[in-house]
Amino acid sequence: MVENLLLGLGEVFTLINFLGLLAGITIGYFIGSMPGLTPSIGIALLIPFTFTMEPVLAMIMIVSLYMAAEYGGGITAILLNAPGTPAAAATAFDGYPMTQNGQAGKALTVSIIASAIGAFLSTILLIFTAVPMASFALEFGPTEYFALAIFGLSLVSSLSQGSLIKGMLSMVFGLLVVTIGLDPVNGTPRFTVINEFFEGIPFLPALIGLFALSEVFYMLENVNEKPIKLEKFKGIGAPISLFKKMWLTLLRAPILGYFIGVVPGAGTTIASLVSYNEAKRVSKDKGSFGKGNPEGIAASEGANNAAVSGAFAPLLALGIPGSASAAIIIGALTIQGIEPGPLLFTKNPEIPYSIFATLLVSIPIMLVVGLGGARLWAKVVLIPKKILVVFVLGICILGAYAHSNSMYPVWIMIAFGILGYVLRKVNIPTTPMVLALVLGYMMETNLRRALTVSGGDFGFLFTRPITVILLVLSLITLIVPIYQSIKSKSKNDGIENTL
Amino acid sequence: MKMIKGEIATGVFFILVAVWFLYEASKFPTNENSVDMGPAAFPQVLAGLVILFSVLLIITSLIKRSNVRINAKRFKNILYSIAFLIIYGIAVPYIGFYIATILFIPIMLILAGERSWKSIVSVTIVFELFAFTVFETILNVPLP
Repeated sequence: MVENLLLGLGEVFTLINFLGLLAGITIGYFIGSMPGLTPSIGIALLIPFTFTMEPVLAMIMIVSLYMAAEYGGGITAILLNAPGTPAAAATAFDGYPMTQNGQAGKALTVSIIASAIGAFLSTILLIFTAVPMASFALEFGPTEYFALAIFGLSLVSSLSQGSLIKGMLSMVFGLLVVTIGLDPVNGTPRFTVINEFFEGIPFLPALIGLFALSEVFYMLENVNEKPIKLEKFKGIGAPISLFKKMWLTLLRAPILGYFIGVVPGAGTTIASLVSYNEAKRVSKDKGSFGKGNPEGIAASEGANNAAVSGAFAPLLALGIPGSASAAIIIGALTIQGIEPGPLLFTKNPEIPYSIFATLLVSIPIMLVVGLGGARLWAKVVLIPKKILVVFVLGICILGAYAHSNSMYPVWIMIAFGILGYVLRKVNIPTTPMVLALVLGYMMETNLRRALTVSGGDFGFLFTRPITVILLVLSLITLIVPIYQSIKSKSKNDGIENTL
Repeated sequence: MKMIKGEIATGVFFILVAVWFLYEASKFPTNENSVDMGPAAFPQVLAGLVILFSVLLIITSLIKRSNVRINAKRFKNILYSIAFLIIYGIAVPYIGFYIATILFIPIMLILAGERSWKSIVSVTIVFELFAFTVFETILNVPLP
């Protein structure tokens, strides 16, 4: 493993790869700070531009962008109560009050250092758990992959924010769309009304449309909003004693964040919220949370950065996404001709180990960039929305076009953009559709392969142990969020009744 | 537009699409003498599920009778933007990317509410340069 790590580090420190890393960090910070642009959108927009690059360079840029975006989100969350990324929402809970108390510099320092610790600890965890996970996954056959795909899809309920019907609708529609193209087993053309459909619906343009273009339409609605006022703040810095007091949180948040990130479907946002709640729950000073307790910032930021590494674990080891952004990255790897999954470590070890190296190397860089440039990143919110909107629109179009040098992916992007906008208007979540686009092919192909092997007998679903475990986990993952939302709804009714 | 109408309309849209898929799938050649479920199986099951959930959506929407309105500011503007986007897409293969973009960006900026000619011109120039540099130079990929 050490030789491979050295291999990875060697890759990162070549000139062009290092420049790519710096570029990724810069773009990532920018996107992360900008409310409305999420890391998923940033990754989706960057990927088409990486097609002609070496896979290693592409991955280095994407990974550093992802991590930097989670750093950057905290900055605007703290300074402006406008989290740049959804996962930074919990950072704003205590960050913004601290700014209002004139302690913005302290808050920013805590945020950035907690993020760095989170990134560091989680990367160590990743390095040591990814390979064993991958070796375990090598035992997988088609039935296990089918169950794995089902497990990935069962996250639809946790992503559906309450309306399972809407989430399921989004997901099954995505699965249906995935069947367009050639039948995976016998090559029969399916739904190929136009020539281009023979290759199926290209994943990335659809994604750019669903996430980025629909966001553009949303931004067009709000272009006339006045830009938020940016208060000046005094220097960066916080006493070391503060960190010593918070050491437990600084350790707990990354570990919690990492493992939540590993769970497919639970990404940075859930990680930061759970971590924040945990820190509050075990604190002797619960009341101060929400009013400017730096521990809240540490909990949120430590976890959301850790979840980034966590999301990479199942991506590299199993080929299923740990978060929406990871799902996009899987799409990118597939397009580059690299198959994420356990064989990755043996066939293309430079990829996972470059990712590990990138995560490690970027930590000190992001510390410096963050602390030194916080004031600058906060200024991004001053860019007038009107201009930003058109720019992002242009990048969407360029990105879609770069996919295959034709207008076809651009039309796919436009179609999915309109679809995504409409769906979001009626509160139908788009993330389940993304899950479906990524996992649908895996699900169908492996089920049919498994049936071919077993001679048409569905029994394998109940007999093979790993398969059974995965299917049971899927059931749990599907049902628990529903149960929790029913419970909380009745709790809320109870409060209303007593009041 | 009320949320109910939107939800019902979306449900109906999905049902129509799913029915089309079902129809097309019924025309697929089936596998005799094979353990495989055939190319039509998955699409048909999925289309059926889409119809199921769309119906559920419509039913729950009607039951809830929510009075919530869909919030869509500047909706006309957005429709125009979509229309111009489509026109742009059709135009690019005919008049080339750079020319189409020179026309398109100012239109979109004006639709977004930008009034200053200085901004419009500079954004257009910056974007054209950006596209040119990234594509022709770094990626070696020609734009139409």
